[in-house]
Amino acid sequence: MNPGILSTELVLMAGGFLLLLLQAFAPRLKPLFAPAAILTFLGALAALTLKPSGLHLWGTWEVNGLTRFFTVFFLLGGALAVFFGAYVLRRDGMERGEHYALLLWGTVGMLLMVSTRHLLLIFVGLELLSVVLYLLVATYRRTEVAVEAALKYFLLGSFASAVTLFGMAWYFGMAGHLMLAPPPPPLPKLMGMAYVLLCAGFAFKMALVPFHAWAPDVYQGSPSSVTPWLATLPKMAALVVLVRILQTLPPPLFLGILAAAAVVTMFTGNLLAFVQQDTKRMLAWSGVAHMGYILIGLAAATPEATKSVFVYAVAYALTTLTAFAVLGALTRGEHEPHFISDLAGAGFRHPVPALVLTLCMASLAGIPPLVGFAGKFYLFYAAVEAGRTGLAVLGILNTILSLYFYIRVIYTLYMKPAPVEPLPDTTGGPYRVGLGLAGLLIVFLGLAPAPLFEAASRAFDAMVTYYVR
Amino acid sequence: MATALFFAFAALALVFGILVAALRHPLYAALSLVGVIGCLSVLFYLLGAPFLAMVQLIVYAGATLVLILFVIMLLGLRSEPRAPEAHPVQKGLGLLLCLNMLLFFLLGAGTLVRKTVPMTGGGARSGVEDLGRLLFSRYLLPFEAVSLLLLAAAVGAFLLARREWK
Repeated sequence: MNPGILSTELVLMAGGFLLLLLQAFAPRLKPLFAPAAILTFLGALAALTLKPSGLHLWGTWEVNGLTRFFTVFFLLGGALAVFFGAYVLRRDGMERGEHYALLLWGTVGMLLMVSTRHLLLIFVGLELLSVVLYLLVATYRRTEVAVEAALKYFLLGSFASAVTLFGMAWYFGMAGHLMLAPPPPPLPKLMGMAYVLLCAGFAFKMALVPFHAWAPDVYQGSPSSVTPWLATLPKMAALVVLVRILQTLPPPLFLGILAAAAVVTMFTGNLLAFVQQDTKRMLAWSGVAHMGYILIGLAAATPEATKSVFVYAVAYALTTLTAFAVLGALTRGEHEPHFISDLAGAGFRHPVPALVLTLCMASLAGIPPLVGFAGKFYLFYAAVEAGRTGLAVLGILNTILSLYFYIRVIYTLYMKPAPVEPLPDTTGGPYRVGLGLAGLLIVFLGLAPAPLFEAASRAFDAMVTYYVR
Repeated sequence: MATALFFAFAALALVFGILVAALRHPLYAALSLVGVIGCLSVLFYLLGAPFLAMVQLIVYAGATLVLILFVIMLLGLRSEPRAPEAHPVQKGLGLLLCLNMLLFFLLGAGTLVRKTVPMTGGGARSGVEDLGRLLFSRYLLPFEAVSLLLLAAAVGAFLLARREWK
C-alpha cells in the first residue's frame, strides 16, 4: 500500500497529535498553536500533490478531480476558520491546543466522507465530524447558550446518525454490499426505504427542511470561534455524499421529491429569516434557504446543474464563513445575544468589519458582482436549461424575498443612529486584515469566477467518469 | 429447531425492547436493555456469527451496560416523572404514523424474505480469523479511522469534564 494515497489525512492527523502534546507538555507555546494549525492545513494542501489519482484500497478510496476540489476547499476553509477562531478564543481566554486538534480531525472526517463511495467509511467520517462538532460547540461550557446548543445538537445529531446507519443496514440488506453504486435495473421496492433513510441523515447535516430545526439554536448558541466553520464546511461534506447517492439513482424516482423539498426549504428559510431579531439566527435561516437553492440544482439533475451546485456551495461557504467571522468581532461577548439592532451605527465606527459584512449580505442576496451572484446566476441558468423554469422562478422569487432581511442589516449598519453604548470591535488589527482579505476574495471570485467554474466542472467529470467505467 | 429458536428470541427481544421504552424506572429500563442485547446475541449466533454474538455480550451487556448502570446509580435512582399528557391530535397523528410504519415494515419484511440477496465476497464465513483478515485488509481504513474517532471523543470528554480551565 502506498501511504501517499492518505497523505493529506495523515498530515492533518499528525498536526492534531502534535498540538495535543504541546498543550500537555509545553503550554507556554500557546501563541504558536494557531499558526501551527494553519501551517498543518497548508502542509496538508502541499501533501495533496503526493496523492496518486485513481481508485485505491480495493476500490474504496478515490483520488480524483472531485476529491481534490473538495479537499482544497475544506483545507483552505479550515485554515480561514482557524485564523478567525484563534482571535475569538484569545479574547475569551479559551485558547487550547485541543480546539485546533479537534478542528483538524474534524476535517479528516469530512475528507473521509467525500473521498469514498463506501458507506462504512462515509459513516465513520460522518461520526468523526459530528463528534468534533458537538465538542467544539460545548467548549464554552460556562456559557449557558453554548451548552444548551451542544446538547440539542448532540441529541438530534445522534438520532440523525442512527437513522443514517439504519438506512445503511437496509442498503446492505438489499444490495448485499456497502458500495454506493447504481442498483440493478428492477429496483427492489424496499431500496427506496434505504435511500430515504440514508438521505435523511445527510439532509440533517445540511439542515434541509424538515431536518432543519437544530440549525438556528445551534448557530446562535455556538461560540463565534466555531460558528463560521460549523455553519459552512460540514454542510458541504454532507452535500457531496448526497450528490453521490442521487447520482446512483435513476432520475425520475426522486426529482419530484427533490423539487418539493427545494421549494419548502427555500420558503421556510427565507420566511423565518424575515422575523429574526438575532443576526446569528437570521444567518442560520438564511443558510437553510441557501440549501434550498442548492436543491434546485440537484432537482434539475443535469451535468451543468450539478456543476453549478458545486460552485454555489463554495460561494455560500465563503460568504457565510466571513459573515459569522464579522459577528465574532462585533459583539459584546459570547454570553450576549447578537441583535441586528445592536449593529446600529457600527458602519462608520468600525469601517472594515462593517464593509465586509455589507459585502457578505450583498453576496448572500445575490447582488452582482459578488460571488453569491455568480453562484445564483449559474444555478438558475442551469435550472432553466434543464427545463425546470418553474423552480428557477420560485428561486428568483425567494431571492427577492431575501433581499429584505439582508438589506436590513446593511441599513442598520449605516443608516441607524448609534446607541448610547455602541458595539465594540473586540478583536485586533490582524483580524480586520483577515476579514478584508476574505471580503476581497468574495469580490474577486464574483468578478472572475471562471477558475471556480472550471474546477467544479473537473470535479463533476471525475465523479461521472467513475460510473461510466 | 433454529427457526423456532429465532422466533422465540426475536419475540423476547421485542418484549424487552418495549419494556426499555415503557418502564419509568431507569434501572429497570437499563436491565431490560440487557435482555434485548442477550436476545440479539442469540440471534447473531443463529445466523452463524458466533464471534459477533460473544462481542455483543462482552461489549454491550458487559462494558456499556455496566457503565450506564454506574451513571444511573451516581445520578440517583428516581423514577422518571410522568410526561404531561399529549394533545389528542398529537396522539392520533403519532398512532397513525406508527401504524403506517408497522404496515410498511410488515409488507417490507415479506418482500425481504422472498428476495434474499447473497452477500458479495466472503459468503457465510464469519469466524474470528475471517473477521480479522477483513479488518486488516479491506476494512483497514475505516478500522483505523474509528481509532481517531475514539481518540477525538476521549479528548473531548476530558476537555468537558476538566475541573478548571487554564
